[in-house]
Amino acid sequence: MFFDNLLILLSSEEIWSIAGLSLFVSISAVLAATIIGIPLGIIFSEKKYRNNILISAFINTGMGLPPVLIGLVVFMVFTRNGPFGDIRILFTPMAMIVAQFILTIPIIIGTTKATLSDIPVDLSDTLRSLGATNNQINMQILIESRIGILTGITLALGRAFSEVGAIIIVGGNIRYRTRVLTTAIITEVSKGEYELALALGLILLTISFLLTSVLTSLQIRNK
Amino acid sequence: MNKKIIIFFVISVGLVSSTTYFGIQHYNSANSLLISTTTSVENTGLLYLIIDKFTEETGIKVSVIAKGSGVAVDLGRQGLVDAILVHAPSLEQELLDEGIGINRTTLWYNYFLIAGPTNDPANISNANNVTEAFNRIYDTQSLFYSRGDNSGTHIMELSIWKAVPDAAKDKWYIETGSGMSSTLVAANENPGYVLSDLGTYAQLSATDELSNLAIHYDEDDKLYNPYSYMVINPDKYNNLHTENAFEFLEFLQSDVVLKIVRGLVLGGVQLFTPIGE
Repeated sequence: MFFDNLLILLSSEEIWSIAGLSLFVSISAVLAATIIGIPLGIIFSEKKYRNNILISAFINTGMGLPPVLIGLVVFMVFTRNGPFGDIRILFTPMAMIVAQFILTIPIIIGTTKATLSDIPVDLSDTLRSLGATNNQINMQILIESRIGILTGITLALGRAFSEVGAIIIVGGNIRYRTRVLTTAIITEVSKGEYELALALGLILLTISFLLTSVLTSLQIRNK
Repeated sequence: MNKKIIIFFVISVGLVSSTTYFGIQHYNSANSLLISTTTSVENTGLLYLIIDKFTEETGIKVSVIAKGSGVAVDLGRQGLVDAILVHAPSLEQELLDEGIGINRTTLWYNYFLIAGPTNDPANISNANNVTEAFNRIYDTQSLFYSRGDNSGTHIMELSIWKAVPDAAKDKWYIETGSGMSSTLVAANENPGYVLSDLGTYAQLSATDELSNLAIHYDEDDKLYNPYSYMVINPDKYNNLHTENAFEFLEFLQSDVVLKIVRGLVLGGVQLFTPIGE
């Protein structure tokens, strides 16, 4: 019964577009969070911020923000009467990316900051004494801390890919448009199609496993 | 290393801009229509049967957001959708009064039903009317599951309780705060009475999820459940796809759709009846 459902699923075109959208939304969100999060993580790991309790507490709280709350806030910001109501992105993949961006950026900032804070302070001094420019110093520090940062990216991607609370509110779970693997599971459960829902879950886990494996292999190869 | 970073940035920028394009195109496309509806209409698959035909004929792509009627109406009130298709007459009336909803058209109906433990401990199956049935549930303090989510079904349920004198809600009254199917599944786990729409009940029964429940009371005039379509007033909000919404309304009343509606049978039960039949 379960495997019948799985086979039916795997042979349908819809499931691949759903899985594709899941990947597209999560990867875009984490990519944007990485581009903006790493520089912020570098800034917050500087000596003057490193031990600031307030900043650390904010980042750490951000890492555990409840997805539904983020969904609600993003919804209210982009609803017609909201502050950004004119940017009509509600119920599109764009809104889902925005929500997951907010969800994951604290993880990138936090892990970057933690990793960089562990690097001996005299590394930059040594590099400078060897005549390195600021850009070269930053680049060298990033290279030294790549494994920690990759851990952050892996965590962020895992959180985004498996999340449902935020995207169902801002995306609306629209079939063929904003339905992703997690919200598809909710729809099938609400229809009483538990085995189909479980099969979807298996597909979600498999993709998540493959994605994590790729990132992990990058980490190990770079050690 | 620097080359890698440049490639990384190029790919990122490409992804982000294509997403933006993807997102904006969705709204600018003159060929689209966004409607909010209730889960019962989506889950039975009726709407997709209709939409597929509609898209085939007109090329207009229809997107559906399925929530409880309360939320579905509210999305209309905020101008976030082009039209709504719900079953909550009192909420629909509010939207008409506010001038936001126009051209309300009742399309189909069915009846709410009261399901409960197979042995019917409150003996509602021979009640004379729905108020009496609810009264008996209250008198015997039998478990009753309420959706508690401001949906069309919940509003109907509350209006019946209002007619039951001193129906103080206590331990026997369980609010699930979730959709019809989750509520039915809860009512099946630890059997209790529940008010449901026909579509969702038939859907779950067909997949064998409601083995501990049976229908004990239905087809009372008071449990009449009409589904109506309403267009959101383009004078209230701009950038709506109102023309498409009207074209869909016309299509909903066409013979093609009536035939689809009549043909939707689950477990020997016709789920929706076109109005006037």
